[in-house]
Amino acid sequence: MSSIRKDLYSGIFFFLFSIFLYAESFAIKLSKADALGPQFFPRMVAIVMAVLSIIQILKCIKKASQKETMQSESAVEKKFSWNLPLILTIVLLAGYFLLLEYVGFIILTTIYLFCQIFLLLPKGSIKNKRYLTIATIISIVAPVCIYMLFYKVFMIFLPAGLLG
Amino acid sequence: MALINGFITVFHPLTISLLLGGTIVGIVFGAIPGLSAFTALAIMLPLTFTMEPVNGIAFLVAVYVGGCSGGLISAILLGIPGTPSSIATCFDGYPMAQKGQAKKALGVAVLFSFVGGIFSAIVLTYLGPLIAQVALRFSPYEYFAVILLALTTVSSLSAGNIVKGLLSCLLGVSLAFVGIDKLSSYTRYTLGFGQFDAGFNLVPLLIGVFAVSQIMETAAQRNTKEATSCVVIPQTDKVKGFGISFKEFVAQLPNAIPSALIGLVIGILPGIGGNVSNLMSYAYVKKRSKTPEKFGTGFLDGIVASETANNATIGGALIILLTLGIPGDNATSMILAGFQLHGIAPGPLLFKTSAALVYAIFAAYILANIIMLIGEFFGLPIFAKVLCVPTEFLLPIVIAFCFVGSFSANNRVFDIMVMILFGIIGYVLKKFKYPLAPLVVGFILAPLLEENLRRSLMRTNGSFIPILTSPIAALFLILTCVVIVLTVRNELKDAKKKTNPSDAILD
Repeated sequence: MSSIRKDLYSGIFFFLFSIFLYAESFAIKLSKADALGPQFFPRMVAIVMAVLSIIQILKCIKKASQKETMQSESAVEKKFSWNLPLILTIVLLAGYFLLLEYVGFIILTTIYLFCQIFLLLPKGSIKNKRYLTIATIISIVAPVCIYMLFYKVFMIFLPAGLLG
Repeated sequence: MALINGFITVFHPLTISLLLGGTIVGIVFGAIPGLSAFTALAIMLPLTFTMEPVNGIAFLVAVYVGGCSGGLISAILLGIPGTPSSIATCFDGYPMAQKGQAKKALGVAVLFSFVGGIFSAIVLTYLGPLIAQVALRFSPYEYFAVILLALTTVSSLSAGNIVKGLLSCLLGVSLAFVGIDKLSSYTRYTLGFGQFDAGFNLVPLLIGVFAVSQIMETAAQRNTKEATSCVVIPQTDKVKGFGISFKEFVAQLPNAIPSALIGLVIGILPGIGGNVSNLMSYAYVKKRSKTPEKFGTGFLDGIVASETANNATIGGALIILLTLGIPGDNATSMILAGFQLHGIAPGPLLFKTSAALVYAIFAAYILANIIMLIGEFFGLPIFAKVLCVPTEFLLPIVIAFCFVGSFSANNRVFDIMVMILFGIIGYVLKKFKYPLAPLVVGFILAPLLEENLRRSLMRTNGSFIPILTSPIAALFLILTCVVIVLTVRNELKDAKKKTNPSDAILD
């Protein structure tokens, strides 16, 4: 995406968000504890945000109209493509959250670390024996150490899950 | 006197070893490119849960000091800044190392880091209580005006685009609405989810916005990245001590003093920190120098400027955090989270209610600087070895610690979801070129901003006039307007400079 489009879309997002903020302020129970009440401040924020987002959108429209004569944007714009490592990272993180209570910290973190390391290393690194050994050692040793450190030294109880 | 008591508190075997450990961990994280003082703080925060408040906060301050200083090692030996605070150190440090003067460059950098740190520590110790005394007399509307100024400054300084900065800040402010409204004790913006009643916890939010977004970024760049080779320049030169004579040291003071001042002032301003101060003072010293052409070729003055400034920034940032409760960047936000974990709110009241703690923090800050000087100097061969550990292996471990940190903030798995959610938000905002510091600072200061405004209107029965007629409040409100006007004017100037739109297309 070109920077103008990014600014435009984010401007629209903030405008919609400010409408949501304002609309949702009607759901707040009113109190008479103070002159302004709990709904005043969110509404002010919503209004200022709306004004700023309109400025942002107008700036983009102005820039775009200036540029139209210069060069068509699509020539520079890259085709949008799904970034697989990024999506898998998000899936991995979400999976971690969903499974943590059932599987437990040590096992799940081992799986997470192993997968995440190979998502960050260049493609095909999993065939590299050295990388594979390092990754395996890290993903087994690190979670056990972290668990022991917090459990024994700092008395913080992490979900034990299957091992519990 | 109070400072001596502070030292007595800190001179406890446990506290000293925590300071030692914290500083060294900080240096290691600062030295490894890709990890920063913030990452170190994020990992170390859960360790402070069960500590005494003094120990916990002293530990975090030590990590912060080490983290800001460690970047110089990789800047000089690899030519890659370990943290953004030492970008300018590369300019002259790396050429010096290439000429075989690595040890001298490192020695000078460490020494002047210490000079900058101690300078700002002295200012902090004397200026901090004074500012706190003034701030203690602030009425709610004056405090409101101060916070408003801080938020505007963060938004305008950290972005280079005030509209985006303010939008990011307002997003942070509105995120703080979620949960119970303090004054009326009704919930707001929970959308009916009971989990939201307590609002978003600062720890998972911070970790998500800065650390989780970083791993997403690293993952997203995988396809394009080539395997990086890491070449550490060996320290071949044999020098005694720090590599410079006392005469040379004195000769460098005219460079160090303005650099320290620049660093200090930038530290006080919310929104910009060491990443700006080192470049700014480098530029200043170069401009003032009689031999500006020598800069960039391995010139000591350049290293002195950069390293003095970035360490002086820490003291400045601590002044504003401790006296007014305003965090300026991601690292100080994390230290604020450390305060909150122990149920302590930094601000002017802290100087009154727990002066012992405040002076212990000052003492810890000074000691951390001394440990940094000694530890970094003698530990250099060891620190140089960790430089080449690839971040691909380290970042996932950082995230594993982040899971623990988010979970243990409230002992609930829900906060891990909050962390991931804010990781995605942080990543998207970065992609859309929105600054993240205003978001976090807005989130932290929003409750204070709202509470003070509403409390002051309670006093005045809903009238805004007394707010405007209070000289202090009026001054800060005028300053707020000045910041906005100046930033907009500068932006319009910059926009005019870009009359040729062809370069705008490519960005």
